[in-house]
Amino acid sequence: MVAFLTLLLALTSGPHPVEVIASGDAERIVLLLDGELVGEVAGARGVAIIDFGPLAPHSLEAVALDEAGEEIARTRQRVNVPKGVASVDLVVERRREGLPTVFRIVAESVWPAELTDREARLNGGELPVSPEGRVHLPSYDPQAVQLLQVWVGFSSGVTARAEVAFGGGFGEKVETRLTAVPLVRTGRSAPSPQTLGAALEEDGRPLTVAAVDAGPGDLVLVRDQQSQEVLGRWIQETVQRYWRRRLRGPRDLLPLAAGTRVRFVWPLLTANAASAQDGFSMGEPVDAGEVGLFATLAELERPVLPQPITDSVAVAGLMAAESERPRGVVLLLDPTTPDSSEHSPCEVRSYLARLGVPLLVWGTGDSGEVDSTWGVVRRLESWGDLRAAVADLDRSLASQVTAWVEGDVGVEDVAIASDVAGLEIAGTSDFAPPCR
Amino acid sequence: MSAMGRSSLLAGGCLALLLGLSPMLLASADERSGNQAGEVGAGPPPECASRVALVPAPAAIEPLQAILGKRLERLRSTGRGNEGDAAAASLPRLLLRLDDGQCTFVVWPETAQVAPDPELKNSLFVTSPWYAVEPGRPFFRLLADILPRPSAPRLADAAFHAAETGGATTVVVLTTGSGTDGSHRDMDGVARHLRSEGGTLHLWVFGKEPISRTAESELKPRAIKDWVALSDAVSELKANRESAP
Repeated sequence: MVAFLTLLLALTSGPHPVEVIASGDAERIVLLLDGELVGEVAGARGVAIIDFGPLAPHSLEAVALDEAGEEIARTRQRVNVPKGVASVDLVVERRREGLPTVFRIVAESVWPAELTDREARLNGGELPVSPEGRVHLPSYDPQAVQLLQVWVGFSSGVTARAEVAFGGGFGEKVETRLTAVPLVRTGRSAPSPQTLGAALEEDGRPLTVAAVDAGPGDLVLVRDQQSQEVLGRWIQETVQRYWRRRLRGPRDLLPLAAGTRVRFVWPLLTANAASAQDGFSMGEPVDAGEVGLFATLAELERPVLPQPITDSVAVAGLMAAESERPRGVVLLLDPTTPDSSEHSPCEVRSYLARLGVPLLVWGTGDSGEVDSTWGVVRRLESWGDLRAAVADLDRSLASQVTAWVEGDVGVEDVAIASDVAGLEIAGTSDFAPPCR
Repeated sequence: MSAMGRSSLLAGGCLALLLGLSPMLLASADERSGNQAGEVGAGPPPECASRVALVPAPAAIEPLQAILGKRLERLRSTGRGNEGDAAAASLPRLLLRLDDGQCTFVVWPETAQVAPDPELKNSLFVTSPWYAVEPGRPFFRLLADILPRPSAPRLADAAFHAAETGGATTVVVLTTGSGTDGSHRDMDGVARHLRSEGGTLHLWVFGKEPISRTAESELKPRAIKDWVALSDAVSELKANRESAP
């Protein structure tokens, strides 16, 4: 048995400590990032510093080896991919004659929250959970399949679950799930599982498509403060004009397909999360005997503070990638807004492409050039420009379908077979060149 | 940003153009994010016998600049500020003057946000729930209506900073009297601190909101609803200086 004690739920890039644990007979644990050896821990438990490089989806594996260097056990966690806001894992802490007798529940929430509830059931029968999160198994028939299920709840209301099967003919862990792969069809008819056939591959291995869905999409919008003002003004003016002329409430402005779901991410941190430092912007003194307060007060204009715009696009991409429907991220950006992000536009654009999330960048404002590493930026200078952009957005969502692929597959690892035309993984046409 | 915030910026821009003070407002964002007060009196730093800090709440800018705009229109309507008149161009610089050597500077009560734990940064962004687009909730309505709650300015903290770091002996907080102050410090406490150092804290309240302070408060807010009230408040700053030890 081997397990991660560090669950990477936040966006992770650069060097990061990762703690792993293995059963007592492990001599060392090696860590593989996307199949490459990146770290090693001597003994059955320890911490390795792993360099995750630029922001990207990853597969991190821990492999426990015995004295002879033979593999005892292997586990994997995927990094920078949608996982929900909480995660739970079951770690075997004790075995007797090779079979697990004690499990420990390892749970983590992205949001700062207390773990409030833990429940465990073995083959449907409730088991007690110790305050440390240990589940002691009663004696069981090793020839029969045993299913252990756990549920955890956090004070934030978030819950998570995990299952393991062992005994009988199963290995230690059994998982069955379907993965949603977003596709863009360039042909006229929607592909079916039959027509998709062997169109999708993972590392050259054909994937089995169980179903294909089409329908309204999920859209995540990121707006900086300035572009928000511009949009608000356009909408206000248009609605007023509409009311004056038609005397009825406008309903068909900026139409999107009914059922489309919209969510917003602002480049702002929650008030209780942001630290309060006294870094106030302070002006140079003016001799008020020469220049009266009138001029000073007349020129007061709220400073534009740096905002983590690019980082919020990465978060929006992760949210969109959680969707199992057609999806997209729209960034409305005033190029003059200072960006305080840790990641570069190129890096985040590339990240979204690998998650299969199309990104549209719309530039507002009268001056300034948008960072060219954002790729194609649609300039919005009027209400008409906005209306045309939304119409194209609606068409873009309508062109997507979701293929349900058997297994736990990373969208970033899925490719279209070379002999298939008229189909691509959503968002990949936006793929940025390698970032410097 | 709230509708009030949007209007403030618009009002500010219009007034500056009216005044012929447009170069600053047409400057780039980087320049704008700097220090406006310094631009007005561009040149060598002045010799400051005393320093007056102005701490404006964003919501106070619109009603303040409305008062200034009305005053300027009135002057022009009475022939004292005709456009193109050389004397008129310098008029705004001459209005509401303090004493020579009495310097003013602006301290903005907002700071860039910093995540306390970068590891958790992606969970700290302000987000909305999912909204389904439907006939009763069209997309344009979502764009217009779903806005983050603006974070409260930190007026008391900025006032304290103006005194401690900026060396101000007089601090003027411009507010609407409503809304919350996101400060860690208490405004009365800052006023007491300033007084103990020989300084004063003034609270100018714009707009129509009622002023409510506790009976124990040392602060005596001034309601600024028109030009006369503003002029009186500025005169008080001069009087304070003259009566200071």
